[in-house]
Amino acid sequence: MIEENAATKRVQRIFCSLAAAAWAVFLLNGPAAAETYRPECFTPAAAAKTMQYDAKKGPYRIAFVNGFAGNDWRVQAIQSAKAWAARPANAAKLAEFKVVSVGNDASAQIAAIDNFIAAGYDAVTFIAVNPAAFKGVINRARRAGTILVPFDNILDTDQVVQVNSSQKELESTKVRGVLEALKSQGKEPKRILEVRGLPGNSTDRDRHLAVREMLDALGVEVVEVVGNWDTGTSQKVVADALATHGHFDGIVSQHGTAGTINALLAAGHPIIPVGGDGENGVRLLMAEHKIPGVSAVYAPAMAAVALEAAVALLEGHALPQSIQLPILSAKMADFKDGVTMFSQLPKTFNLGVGYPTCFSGLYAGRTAGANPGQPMSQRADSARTVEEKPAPSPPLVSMRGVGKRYGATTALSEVDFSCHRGEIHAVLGENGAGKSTLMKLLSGVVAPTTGEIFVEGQPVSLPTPSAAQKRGIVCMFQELSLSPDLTVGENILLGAPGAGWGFAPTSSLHKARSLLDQIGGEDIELSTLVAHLSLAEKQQVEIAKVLLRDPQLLILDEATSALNSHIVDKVFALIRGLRDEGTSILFISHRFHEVEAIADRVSVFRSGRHVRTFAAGTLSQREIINLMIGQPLEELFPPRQAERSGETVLEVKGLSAGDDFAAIDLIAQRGEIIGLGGLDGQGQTKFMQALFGLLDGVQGEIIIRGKTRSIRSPKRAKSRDFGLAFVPEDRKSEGLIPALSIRENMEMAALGRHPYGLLHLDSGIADSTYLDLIGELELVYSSLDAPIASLSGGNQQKVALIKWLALAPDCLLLLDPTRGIDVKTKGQIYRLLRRLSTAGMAVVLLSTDYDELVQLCDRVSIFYRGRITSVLEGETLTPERVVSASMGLVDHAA
Amino acid sequence: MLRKYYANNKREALAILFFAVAFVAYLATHPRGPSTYVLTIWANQATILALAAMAQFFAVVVRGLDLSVGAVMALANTLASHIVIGTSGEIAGGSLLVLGVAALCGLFNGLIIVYGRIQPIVATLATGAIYTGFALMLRPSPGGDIDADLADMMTYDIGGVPTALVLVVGLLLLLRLPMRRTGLGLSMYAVGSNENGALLSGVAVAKTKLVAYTLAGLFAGLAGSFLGFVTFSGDANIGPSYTLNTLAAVVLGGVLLRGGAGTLLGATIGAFILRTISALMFFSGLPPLAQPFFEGLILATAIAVGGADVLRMRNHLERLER
Repeated sequence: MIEENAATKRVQRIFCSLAAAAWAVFLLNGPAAAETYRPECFTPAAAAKTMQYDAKKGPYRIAFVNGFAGNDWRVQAIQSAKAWAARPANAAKLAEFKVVSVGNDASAQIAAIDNFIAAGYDAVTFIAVNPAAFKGVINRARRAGTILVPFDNILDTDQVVQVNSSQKELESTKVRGVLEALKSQGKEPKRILEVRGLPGNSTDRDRHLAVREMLDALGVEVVEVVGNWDTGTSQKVVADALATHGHFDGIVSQHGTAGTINALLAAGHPIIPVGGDGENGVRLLMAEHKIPGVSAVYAPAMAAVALEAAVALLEGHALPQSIQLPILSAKMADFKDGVTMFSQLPKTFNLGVGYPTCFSGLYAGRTAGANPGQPMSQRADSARTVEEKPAPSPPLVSMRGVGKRYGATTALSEVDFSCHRGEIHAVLGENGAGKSTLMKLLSGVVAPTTGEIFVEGQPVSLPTPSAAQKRGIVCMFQELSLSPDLTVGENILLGAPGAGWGFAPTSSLHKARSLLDQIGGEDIELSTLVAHLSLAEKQQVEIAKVLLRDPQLLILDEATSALNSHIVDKVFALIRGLRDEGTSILFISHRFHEVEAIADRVSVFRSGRHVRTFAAGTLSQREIINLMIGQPLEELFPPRQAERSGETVLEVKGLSAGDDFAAIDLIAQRGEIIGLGGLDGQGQTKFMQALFGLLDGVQGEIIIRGKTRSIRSPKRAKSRDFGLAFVPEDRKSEGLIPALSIRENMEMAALGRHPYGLLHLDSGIADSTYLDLIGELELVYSSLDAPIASLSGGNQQKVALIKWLALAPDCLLLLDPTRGIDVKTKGQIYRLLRRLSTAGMAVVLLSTDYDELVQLCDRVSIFYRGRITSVLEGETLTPERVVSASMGLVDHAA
Repeated sequence: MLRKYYANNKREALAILFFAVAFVAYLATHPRGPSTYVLTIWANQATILALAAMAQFFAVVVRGLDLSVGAVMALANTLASHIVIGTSGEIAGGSLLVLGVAALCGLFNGLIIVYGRIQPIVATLATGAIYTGFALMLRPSPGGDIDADLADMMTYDIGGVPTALVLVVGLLLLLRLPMRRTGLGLSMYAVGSNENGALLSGVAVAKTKLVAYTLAGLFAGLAGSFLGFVTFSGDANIGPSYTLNTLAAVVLGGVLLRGGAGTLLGATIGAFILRTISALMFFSGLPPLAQPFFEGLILATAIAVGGADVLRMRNHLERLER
């Protein structure tokens, strides 16, 4: 048998031997010994009582419930249990044998054991996760007649037969081995290194105490290091100890001894005796380097012994309540390949050596035993009137000298404004005029930098929205304040006045229902999730929600932007009713006809300043638009190009995508700057995203340089065949990566265009290309390696442009590239765009700034509700037409 | 009605379905079959994780995370192993003290997250270590004792129905309406779903978060106590595996980690799924070392089925936000 070479058979055989060897481990001892079963094999611990159960008829159903399963010792314990059950003599006694591992959770182990008890198993062996947790299950097992045999990590109880080995004996064996080796060399031990296990673990503590007890008695200095029972950790801490203390006379290592020995060898320390664990690799190392000492271990085959004990108990035999297996050790001098160590077996294999045997015939001369004890589980750490109403004084809300700055940007300056009781006050202005900031100041979202706000003549401070709401100022922030994950009813309750934290008054639900019905929302069920509503429906819910708060001042910011005229009429009727009851309404809208239909007074804002307030109907639409746009900065824009090449780069036919946009046609030729205008959210942004492959389910045709293309991803859109580049709206979240440097951001778009793809270090674009663009745009920076966040907003936008321009695209898609940017940078970007288009690039520019559209673009398509409602060019391309078309006034444009 | 429920709670409905399949498979493969004993074992073990998952739910619903759930459990568990014993008065007082300490741990987490402006994952990692430290001081190695009569009462059955199941169902029924009909419950969802929107709606965002974390602590305390009823002892080292399992449980139960969505029922179902899958392994006859692999495979399938609707989103950018 020894001569057989098949490694697997050999391992199997060894496990059989392990089981048998462990079987064989018990020596006769103890007072009850004479009455117990096979006393030569089941050795009682000191003062152990004897236990016996009524005999049961076999064959038996037995389960082994392991805890943690992630180290070699546990794996070998499971294997030896299975090897034991597979032996013909044992298999004949077994009707069923199950093995499960449950991890480190005592409750899971208890549940597993309970399951086996419930299933009528005769016996369950287990390695306890926790010594104190099993009282309940022991009682249940007793009642059900199931025998429990814990082993290795045993229980604080004497109610069940348990199998283990002494931790103290294990470590004492190692100390003895080291002392004996020293003695045989004629040396006196002065300083011993102790490599401990996992701190705080009771096994580590027990072993440590054994070491100290022996060595302290001899007056030997002990240096302790913590090795965590891990080879790598042991190697590091031993290396540190050797460097610190220089010399030791011997080492006692709980586990991970291979690391301990390697550190010793690496340090060039003289060979000294080692008392280590029983892994095969440790013995191989000790033998190779002639390291005297001992390798000691207790056996994974303990799992087999526990099974053996379970069967004996089922058969009615008496056994000691506490069975103590001896420590299996071997001295280096006695190591023999194939007997006490195995050069062909894994180094992590746990060996038991030199067992006395109960059944020597079974394992044919090989005394492989089981072994060491690495205790386990802890490791897994783990608002009409034409005349101004004689206003009742004071006004409901007024502002004096109010300004608001965000960093270097002035959003509002020196604003004097007032709103009276019972009026509908419209606020008009272009994007960035300061309307939103005005609303935010009034509703408590932001605090003014300068000036004062008065409510009924009293100066107030409005630090939070709830503070403003307490003063009766309620703002409807478009669809922003709804929680998409809550139903319509729940959102209404949340916003209901005086709800607090208790049960929300369901009366507001009835009120909300009637409000929704009044504004054409009969089809909106209160039980529908807001996430499932259309944008228009969300706005209706939002309107109902603010109205429920019985506002004194109701601020409606683009409250009707998504609603159709039928529903808008219903909303307006409701709002007029409120005004007649004394509520003031601030009404912000980009739709002129709406303002004409409802406003009593109108205030115009431009560039953060309050321009004029007048009674509605006293000024013509054209006069109002002139107030809004002021004087355009002609010199800001470069002259248009006289000629165009006529070659079409990008052609779009009938492009549609769900509710976002429909039937979009567009042609962009070389040398042209095509403008896309319209109010926010009319589908133009989604259209641009569709062109760059960000939308699925897009229908229609996209033709690039004569070829119909399907654009499925940005990666394809930017490829040479497509030649598209896309500069997104939000440079902070989409255009740039704030944590990376300027250089890295610039080179980002080029990644993957190189023939060798992402593996190539070089972007494939000459540095001079970047430097030329940097020069033309006059990028202000300290170093290209500085983080992009160190640049001003304008300079960041330049980088976002350079990033794409370096790829020399045929068609440049730009989303509002000058939003929030200073005038000088705007001029630079405009000149660059004109130069690029002159050079043959097609530019598609989405903009909310009508100046840009009128002064820079060759042709402008205006989006309104997901469709292009007008295309303006040459004579027709005027600010008035752009603004009126954007507001849906196509037929009666000024 | 049922269709509405499915439309509003797709992930939770799928989780319930998955749970039903796993539960039936468990009973079908169990040699003893459906019986009070088998159900009690199963309910006891799942209830510990279910209570811990409820704790995690309160942190997640306000768009937070609580990595100290396991640690608070351990602290409650070890504390209980010292003081939930003696006369009935001492037992009642001890039990309340355990829950009070756990709730304070949660409140402390909330204070650090809300006023210290530290990300929940980091804050609770740190506080979790603190709580584990306290637990180790209370119980350096597993042990102690918990009143056996109380423990038996909590872990056996009432007229054939597992007490643990009665407890969990009772808690769910007790909390279902308040979570959806009180200002506090709705505020928690609103804060997690759309914090700016909640603020604009006049919700007391900071206080809402504090309450949510305090509830997380309280439920972790319940979980730790219940663990004690099962093990009759205290163990300071039980935290880590529970913390990660609570996260798995809430996700499985259709509670979105981005906050604002999901229910206590979902978190509970998630916990029961996890434990039922584990229990399936007992009689599967699979090799013991391969069992984690199959457990993982079943789990991954459950999560994949729950997340499949993401594939129906048209906008690539929105898809990334999920």
